[in-house]
Amino acid sequence: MSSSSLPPPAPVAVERSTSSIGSIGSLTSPNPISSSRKSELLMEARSARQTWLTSTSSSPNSTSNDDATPSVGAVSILSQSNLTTSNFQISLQPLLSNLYGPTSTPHLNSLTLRTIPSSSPLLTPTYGTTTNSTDYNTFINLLSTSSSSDLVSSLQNFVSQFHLQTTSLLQNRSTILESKRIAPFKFEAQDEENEESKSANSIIKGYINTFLPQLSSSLTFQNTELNLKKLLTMFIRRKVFQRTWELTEDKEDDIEFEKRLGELAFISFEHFDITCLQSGERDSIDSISSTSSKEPQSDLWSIPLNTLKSIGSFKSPSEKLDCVIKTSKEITAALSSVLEGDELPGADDFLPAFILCILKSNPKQFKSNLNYIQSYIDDSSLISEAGYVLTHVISGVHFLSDLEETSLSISKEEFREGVEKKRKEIELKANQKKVEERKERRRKLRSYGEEERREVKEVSAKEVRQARLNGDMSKLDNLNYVEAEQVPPRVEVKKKYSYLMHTPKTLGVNDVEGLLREYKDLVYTCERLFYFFFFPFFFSPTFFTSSSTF
Amino acid sequence: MRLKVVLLGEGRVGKTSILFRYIRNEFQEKQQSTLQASYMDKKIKVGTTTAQLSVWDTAGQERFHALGPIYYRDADGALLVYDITDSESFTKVRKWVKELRKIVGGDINIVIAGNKIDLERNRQVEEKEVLEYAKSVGATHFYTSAKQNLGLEECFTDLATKMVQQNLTKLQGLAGGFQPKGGKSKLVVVDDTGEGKKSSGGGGCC
Repeated sequence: MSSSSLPPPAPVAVERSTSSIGSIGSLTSPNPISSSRKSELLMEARSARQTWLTSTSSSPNSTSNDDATPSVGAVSILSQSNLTTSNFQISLQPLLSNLYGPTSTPHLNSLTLRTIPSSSPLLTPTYGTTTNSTDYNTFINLLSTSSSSDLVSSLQNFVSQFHLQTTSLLQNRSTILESKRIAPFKFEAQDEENEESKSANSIIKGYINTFLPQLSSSLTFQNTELNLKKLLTMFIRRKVFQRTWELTEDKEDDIEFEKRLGELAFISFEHFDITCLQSGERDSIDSISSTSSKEPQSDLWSIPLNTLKSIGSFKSPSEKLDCVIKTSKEITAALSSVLEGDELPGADDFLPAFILCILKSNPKQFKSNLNYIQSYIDDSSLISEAGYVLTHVISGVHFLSDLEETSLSISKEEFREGVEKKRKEIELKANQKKVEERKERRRKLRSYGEEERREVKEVSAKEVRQARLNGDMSKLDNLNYVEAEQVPPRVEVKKKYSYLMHTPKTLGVNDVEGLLREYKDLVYTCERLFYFFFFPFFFSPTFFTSSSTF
Repeated sequence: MRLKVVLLGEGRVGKTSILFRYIRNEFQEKQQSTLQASYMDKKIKVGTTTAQLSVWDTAGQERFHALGPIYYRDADGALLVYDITDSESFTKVRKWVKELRKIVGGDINIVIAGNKIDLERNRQVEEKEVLEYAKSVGATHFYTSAKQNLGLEECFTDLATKMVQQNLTKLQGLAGGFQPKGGKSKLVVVDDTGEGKKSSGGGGCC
């Protein structure tokens, strides 16, 4: 047992325990180990394996927003480990995990720390036309059986090796992106060869090709009728999603495109003369000018918009592609709904409708998502309709990137006005957002002050906040001003702030001197508070009293 | 054998109707609710070879013209549709042929279809001009009517035959080592639109 070879670094904590457990199972050496400890370890290894399998991404340096809440997987580890620990711990553990999170159990530290899924498996959207989600679940369940532990070790090994191998690629990529920013010439999306994602992709493909025979010949899987290649590919792709995504991502390009689409958002169906939206004869040219265009029913039209918006939530190229294909089907359905009889919309209608769909839904990081699909999808998935649809999306993005008023049924002035209007709207929104953020920050600061500084009674932090709020008001937005006026300070004011309840109108030139004095007082108080929060060891009673002479 | 065919033509020449009609014949009684009318797969038998045709409809409006290459980059064949009652639409065909030869190269098989032959009385495009032009660029010409379901089968069959033969020749060449590589995305820049095509088939204009 103790002589088991040292595993490679990285998500190794999991690896180590799994492989060592594996050797316990087949242990013939007289190394003494109690049977209860043995089953305990086995259980641990198993739940660790399970957690690893169901977590969507296992990039060691992935930062996720929802890490704050303990994951389902981690909790399940705890509840399972309870079974093997003493009664005392059973009663204590839920409490502990409530208080301190799942990492409080010392002997599980190494497991939970590394295997906390960045998002709960339950939240992973699965879309089931081409990738059957029940098949995938069966696949995962079969992998979590104890007989598959060697297979899982191999998978884990690969994932950690992959992250090691691609670290340099990631660095290359960021260097390239940087030089792209600096370079004055324009990069064409098509000319841009992403060597990094290519080599990452060949590593993945190579592994899948070597691992697949092993998987399909294993006892667990040899008699299943699952499409193992597909399921394995999806599993690996999800596991390495974070890294592979980073290799294709181009944040600045995305931001630019999102902004561009925001400015073009005024464009609508009539600017494209979508023929199937014109009532009357399709073949007759006269009908185009004489008819009013009718948009597809708004609810039908909103379906593809929402589908396309969700593209970022999928963690494998095939799922993202499925999302695009689903969108195209829904667009066809929406267009067909406005057509007479059993007519179907052709490319003349389909392409502009798709372009509008991209424009209106403006999905987050859309270009990176497309790059990701193109970089990692198997060529075999792109034959037939999928290739057709993806080509449409790509050409749609091209169209929107190079769009000028001449390509639309719109006058130059109208186009310019539209862009200008949207640009202003966006600015306004951004400003509002800033104000909101500022408010939010203030609110946080205020509550922070309330909770953390309860013991310091000299000057309440809330009071300081309130005063500062009022100080801001005289020159800033009316909205906050009104709010500040309506909510008088609840905490009793120890010091006299003579200008606290003033409005800009009630202030005179004579007040400047007093106001300035109080302002200085306020600043120093704030400074002290700051030091107290962040460098409490500097904060001595003498420091406090010596500067309160104002 | 998988072959890609792009359908090119100005808006309103009826290329969507051609494809639609072709699909409808194919899938007569089947449900069409989720069917994409702008794309279709069709198995077609040429001699002993079964080929899988993927027919891509493209948007014909001038505003999408620049996007063309994205669609026909790796096509094996192109069906160019014009409206015999609209001379402008034929001018467009010339433009496309030029572009296809330039971007895809000499390898792409081209069939030109004069649609709306049911409106013969309103004809604006001279037959002689069309046939001569088709010959000069190595394309086959057909008259079609999506409305009356005329000439569609012939059109696609001819195109498929040409593509299959070309591919087989290529494969043989590959096996015999005559050609270094028969990639279909081979880029040959041919500026001269008048250059004839040496590939087999051809001729059968109606």
